[in-house]
Amino acid sequence: MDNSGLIAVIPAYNEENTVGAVIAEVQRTCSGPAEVRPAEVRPVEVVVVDDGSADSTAETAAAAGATVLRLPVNLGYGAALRLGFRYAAGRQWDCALVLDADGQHIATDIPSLVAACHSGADLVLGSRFHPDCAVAYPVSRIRRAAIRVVSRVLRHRRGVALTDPTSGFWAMSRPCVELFSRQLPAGYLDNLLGLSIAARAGLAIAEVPVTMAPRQGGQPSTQGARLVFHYLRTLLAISIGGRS
Amino acid sequence: MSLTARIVSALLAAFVVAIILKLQRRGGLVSKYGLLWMATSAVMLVMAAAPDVVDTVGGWLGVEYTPSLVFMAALGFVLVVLVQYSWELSRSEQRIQILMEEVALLRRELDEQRKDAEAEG
Repeated sequence: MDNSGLIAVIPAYNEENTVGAVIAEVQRTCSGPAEVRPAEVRPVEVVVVDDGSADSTAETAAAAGATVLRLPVNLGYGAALRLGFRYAAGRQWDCALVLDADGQHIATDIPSLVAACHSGADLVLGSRFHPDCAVAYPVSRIRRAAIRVVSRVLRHRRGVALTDPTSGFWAMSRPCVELFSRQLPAGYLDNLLGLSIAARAGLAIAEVPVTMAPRQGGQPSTQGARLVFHYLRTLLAISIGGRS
Repeated sequence: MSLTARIVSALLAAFVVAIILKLQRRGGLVSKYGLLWMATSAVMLVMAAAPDVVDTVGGWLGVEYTPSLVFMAALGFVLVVLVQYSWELSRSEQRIQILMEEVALLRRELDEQRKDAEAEG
């Protein structure tokens, strides 16, 4: 393990209210003096991918000290993530993170994700539904059902058993990020497809329990009928492959 | 087919040709689509001018009620065109996304270089 540090990719769409605090939180957890920060973490480059926000997300993120990549129009979460991976593939680091800009993912969980990554996993997911979680995370019934279906498909088609495959809180090794930056199709819509690609490539996937905060701002990216449509598209993509 | 029906269908075909020509001239249409729709309206014109053609072709194929041949062919044609459009649209979307990514990465690089230049200057 070298000391080149961490990179945290944060896709953001109209998150001016929370993105600054999230960046500060990540920096506080990771970049404190070596004596106080957890042994697993290292100085961090925070990369905010501004997915065509109409508000001051990009300015806020830049002011908070993040590297900002600005997509000229809103392309969706998956596209923002894909850009983040492409950028990260060309940088120096020894563990890459993905987390949400809405404050849902808590920076104090970063050390346990990074530790799992350093102990050999290529892709580590922070799970809200892990048996070791202290409290069950509340989700809508449609989402819960969709997560269950997706878990089953992933187990049967790809042989990975996960409690929270839709989690957007990830830690990754370099081979994993390089695989994503090469193989995620343009039009990539969800982390599930990435998960499926990683499983197919035979990368080691692990889960660690995390506590997720109820979202502090913004709207869930998809709700109701759109959520169902979104999951159907994702299921098609992960079960048949090809483009999303 | 009555004379009125023939005139109406000929006018319709001529109308389509006129629209396509106009779009083409204004540069609002890529030539491959221009050609596609001109060929389509040419077929419509032929069928309007000589409806017997349909009966003759139907006879060769052993179709009893030949007008249904026209519907089937039209439906099949529209379906193929639509699938082709979906494919083309998917490809365009992907190309646009890749382009956006490049724009974002280049903008970042430009910002970086400006900052460096300012620091030096």
